[in-house]
Amino acid sequence: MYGNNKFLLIVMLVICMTSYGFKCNKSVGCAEVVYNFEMGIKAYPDKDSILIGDTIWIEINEPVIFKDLTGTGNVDYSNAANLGAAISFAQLISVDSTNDKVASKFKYLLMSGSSVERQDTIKYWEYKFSEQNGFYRFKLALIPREKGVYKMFIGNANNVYRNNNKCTKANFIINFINTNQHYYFNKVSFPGIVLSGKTGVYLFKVN
Amino acid sequence: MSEVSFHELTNAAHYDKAGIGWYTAFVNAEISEMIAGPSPYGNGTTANSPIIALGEGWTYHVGHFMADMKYGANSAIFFEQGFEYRNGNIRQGGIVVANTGLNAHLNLLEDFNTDRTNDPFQWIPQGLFYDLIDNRNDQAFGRVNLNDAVSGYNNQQFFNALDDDIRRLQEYRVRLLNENGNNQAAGVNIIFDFYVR
Repeated sequence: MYGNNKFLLIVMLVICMTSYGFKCNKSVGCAEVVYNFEMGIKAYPDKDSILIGDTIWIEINEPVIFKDLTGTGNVDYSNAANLGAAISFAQLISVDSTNDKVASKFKYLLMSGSSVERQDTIKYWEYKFSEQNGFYRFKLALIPREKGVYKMFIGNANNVYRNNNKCTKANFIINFINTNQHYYFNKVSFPGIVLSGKTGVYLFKVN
Repeated sequence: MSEVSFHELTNAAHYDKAGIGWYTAFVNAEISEMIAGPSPYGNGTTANSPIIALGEGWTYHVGHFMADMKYGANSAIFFEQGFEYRNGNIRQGGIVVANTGLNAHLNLLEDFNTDRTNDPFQWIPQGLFYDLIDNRNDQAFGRVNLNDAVSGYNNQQFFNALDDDIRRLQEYRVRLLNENGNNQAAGVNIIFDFYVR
């Protein structure tokens, strides 16, 4: 029994060291991220409060040539296979009270881009951006069905690869630009936590 | 290197706690997924995935938690899910994307997000245990949509619940709550829901 235990322990140690090496060594299996890009997303109209049935537009229009944040200059990153983002919401109810299973409180009309199937649509909706005429484009109409204060989270797109080159992966920071993000609504549930700077969150109220 | 050592020693401690039956299942699951890929843990959707999620989620947590205890504000930069976790902030491509005030290892655990579906191992819940310990609600900030209202659990409680019959995260959740008087059960359930996909 002792011999068996010792053998298993040795096997596990070898597996762990090997597997850990795989995870840390990003060059194995084309896992290395070569580029880091920033992409802007807009929300409009610029109102902090809307009515049930009104529309909030979420839109991306970015040229496929990006500036690499790590300093290697401009990169034509067209033909991306999996560039997109997940969108989720939290309803801010009162201090320390929120509900994040509120995705069904909105109607989604996709004008540009494509949906990615997920099982957890009670919380997340995921989309891929489309490529048209040298631009990545995404346009989504969000139409609220219920009153409340909401905080929308846009996820970053990491480990993005191109159809013609799977080994030059890129990470994309997706932040709101030219958008009033109405950070002050954060105090409804989290007084004392002051949001600032560029982020992928957008807050609004539905009356 | 210290983080790796803590990680692997935690595997050994789990073996000692849960016994050879549990560990044989864990070893067999990881060998199968290393072969099937994506290496080394698989895609998170097979019959092997639950025990890997439990075993590796725990060991990653302890690896980083103990490395933080040892190095604190002198911790090295760590990379995970496309981000650079540094002492005080999170960067991407050298650009600061969040000032958190946490040191690198805790930054990584706190920012771990199952929503990042381009990470092939996003289903291994590296941040689960730290979210049960800390008193920082992820949802209050701008990166992770998790209503983390739980605090005060500790590593001894986590370790006590790693029994030989516990091979899935949801089984682990039930055992952890049972052994701790259902402490903050509603919040604990929310956190497990976030990590168990």
